[in-house]
Amino acid sequence: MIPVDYYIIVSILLFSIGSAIVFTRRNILYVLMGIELIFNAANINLVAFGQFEPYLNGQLFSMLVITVAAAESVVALAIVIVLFKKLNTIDLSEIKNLKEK
Amino acid sequence: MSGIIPHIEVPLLAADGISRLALTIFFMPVITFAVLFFAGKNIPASIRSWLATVVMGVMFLLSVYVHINLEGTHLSRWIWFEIGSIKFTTSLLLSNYSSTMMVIATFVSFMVHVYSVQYMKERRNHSKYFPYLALFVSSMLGIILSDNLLITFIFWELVGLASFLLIGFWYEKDSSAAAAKKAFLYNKFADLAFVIAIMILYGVYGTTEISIIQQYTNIGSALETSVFALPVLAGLAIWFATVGKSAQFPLYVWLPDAMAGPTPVSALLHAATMVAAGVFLLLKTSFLLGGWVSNIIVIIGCITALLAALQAIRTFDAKKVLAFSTVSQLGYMMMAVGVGATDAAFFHLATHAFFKACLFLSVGAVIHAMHHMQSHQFDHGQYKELDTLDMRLMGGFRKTMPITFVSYSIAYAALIGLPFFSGFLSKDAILSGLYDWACLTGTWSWLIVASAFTTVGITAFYMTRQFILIFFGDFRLMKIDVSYKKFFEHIKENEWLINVPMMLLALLSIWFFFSINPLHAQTGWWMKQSFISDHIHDFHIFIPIIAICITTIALWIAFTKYKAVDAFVDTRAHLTHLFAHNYYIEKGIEAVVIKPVFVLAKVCSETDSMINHIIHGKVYFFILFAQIADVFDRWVVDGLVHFIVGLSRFIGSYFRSYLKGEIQGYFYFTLIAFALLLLLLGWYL
Repeated sequence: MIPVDYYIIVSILLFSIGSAIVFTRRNILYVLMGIELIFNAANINLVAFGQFEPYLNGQLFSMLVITVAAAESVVALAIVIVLFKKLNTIDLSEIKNLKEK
Repeated sequence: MSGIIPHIEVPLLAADGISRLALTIFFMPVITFAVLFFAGKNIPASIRSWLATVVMGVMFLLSVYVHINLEGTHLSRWIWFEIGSIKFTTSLLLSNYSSTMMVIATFVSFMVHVYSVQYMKERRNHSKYFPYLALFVSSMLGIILSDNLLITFIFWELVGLASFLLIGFWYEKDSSAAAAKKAFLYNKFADLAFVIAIMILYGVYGTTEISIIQQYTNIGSALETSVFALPVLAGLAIWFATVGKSAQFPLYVWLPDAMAGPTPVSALLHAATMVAAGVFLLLKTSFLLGGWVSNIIVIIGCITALLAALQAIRTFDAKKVLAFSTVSQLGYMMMAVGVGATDAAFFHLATHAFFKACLFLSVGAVIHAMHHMQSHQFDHGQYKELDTLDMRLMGGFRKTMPITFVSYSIAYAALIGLPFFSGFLSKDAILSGLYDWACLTGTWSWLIVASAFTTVGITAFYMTRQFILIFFGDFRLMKIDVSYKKFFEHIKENEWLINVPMMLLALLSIWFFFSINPLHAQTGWWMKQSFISDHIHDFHIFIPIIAICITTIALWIAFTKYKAVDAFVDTRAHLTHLFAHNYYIEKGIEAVVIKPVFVLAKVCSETDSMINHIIHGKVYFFILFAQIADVFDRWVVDGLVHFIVGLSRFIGSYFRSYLKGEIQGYFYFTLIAFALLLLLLGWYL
């Protein structure tokens, strides 16, 4: 049985990579993919710790997270399309509408 | 008092035929009133007056029919209204008293109506005159027929209202309006006592039915338990109510002023309706009078009789002399009620109704003739202001107005109590009643008898004075102003509508209508058959003799004094002044009642304003406190809130300044915050 430390290391790596993508990339689609990585890091954690629990609630919960992530990415992609239609760009460095004037 | 109203079973009695007839008589003037009051302006004046007169005539005939066919007493009682389980009954009592009074009231009213048809012709406000008269008569009939104090009180007030309207009939004259107001207020003041009496009797017996109360009351035993037993006090209160209506000392001062109304109204007021109502009520409730209350009634009656008679001596207003004489005669009736000679009192009430109405109508005829002369003078363009009531300006009317002279003489003879006239019989009945009472009580009561006899003399004196001043001598106005000479011929006998009622009333002032024996009423049908009472008056032959002697002396003095008087020099100005001011009774009432009330009102108003000031002070204190609280609120509470808001805003805007609107920036900060949170968590764990 693979010790839980390894899972945690993998999940940390995934999280770090995801975060790095989200921070550094300017393309909004890459940012979305980074977010997906962060979700999966969380999922790995859930599954890894879920094995200690006889009813496997953690693993079931990871299924739920995957489903929610799918739904979320649908919404996110729709937003991206709308964004592109409005601003004609998907470069995050150009999208600064959140800042108050 | 236990506080619980005692329950006395009041049986209901169905009205029989004769009671229904009496009720019909009562409702006839009510209908006349309604028709003439609301539709009077659309009916021609002659039809209006004759309608009221004919209805009154029919009422008189029906009353006579009721009186003749009445046997015993007929009491009918029915439920008036119910409040919960309490039943208020009302009842109608037909007895000899009430049917006789009905005949008197309707007859005098009928005569006054006939007289008024002529007298009030083409006078201002004519359309309201006859409905008011109808209201007056119907209310009086209500008092006569009702056997319930509550109903009696309602009619009692209606009589007051009708008298107010009729006294102030020519209300555009200030004196008339003032007289009407005075009459109304004096009566209202006394009527308070009536309300108190009703409350006491209802509290004691739980009913206001007079006949029921009579069954349960024994005033003698009540007086034995306590001098101030409740029924005794109720009797006192009822008497005080009649002090107002029947014009007793000290409230009689409204009656002379009430002469401001039309003369036929005065006749009605003095004979059949207003003042008779008081005496009649007292007769009905005489079972409540006894002991010290009776003594008060006698004393006040005696004072009233004497004072009013004295005032009449020095009055020159022809109608006021008669008004004082009415007050004086009412004093006699009250004395008779007080000593228990109720049938004598009622007898005098009846005879007085006829001769006093006749006197008023005669004097009214004289005044009418004076007005007539004045209007002729006006046609000649020589109108002068003239007091047509002043006896000093009259005189010598004996030749020009013989019918008036004869009727006046008969009524005059009846009033001063000459033999062969009705007043002689009734006055002797009262005097002998007083004498019997004085024999029983003794001491001070002889003073009352003496003063009653004195008043007989004074009455003869002032009436003779008026008689001479109006009808004998020369026409004095001519001596003052020669220009009146050619108008004297216009003073002539009035129309028949004025003369006939006068003559009929004069006829009824002669003895044989009341007693076959002209010198003694006991043998007459009136005293013998009409009123079966326990009082058997012994016949004292010396009483009429003394009375006649006094009257004759007074007549002789008056004749010698006024036979040839043309100039009136007031030798006793103080006395005249005293009499003209009603012995300062009004001033006394003002000092005793009105001034203290005003002082009380002033004290109350000052207390009120003081309380106002205190409340204002309190309010100012609260306003100041509120201002301070407001400042505290603004600067301290609000300031604190604003400070916190500002601090948060400052911190928020500080951190916000790091955000450039890039999405990654938000994520970055969120991550840092999350990491810090985890660190904090790790610190505590």
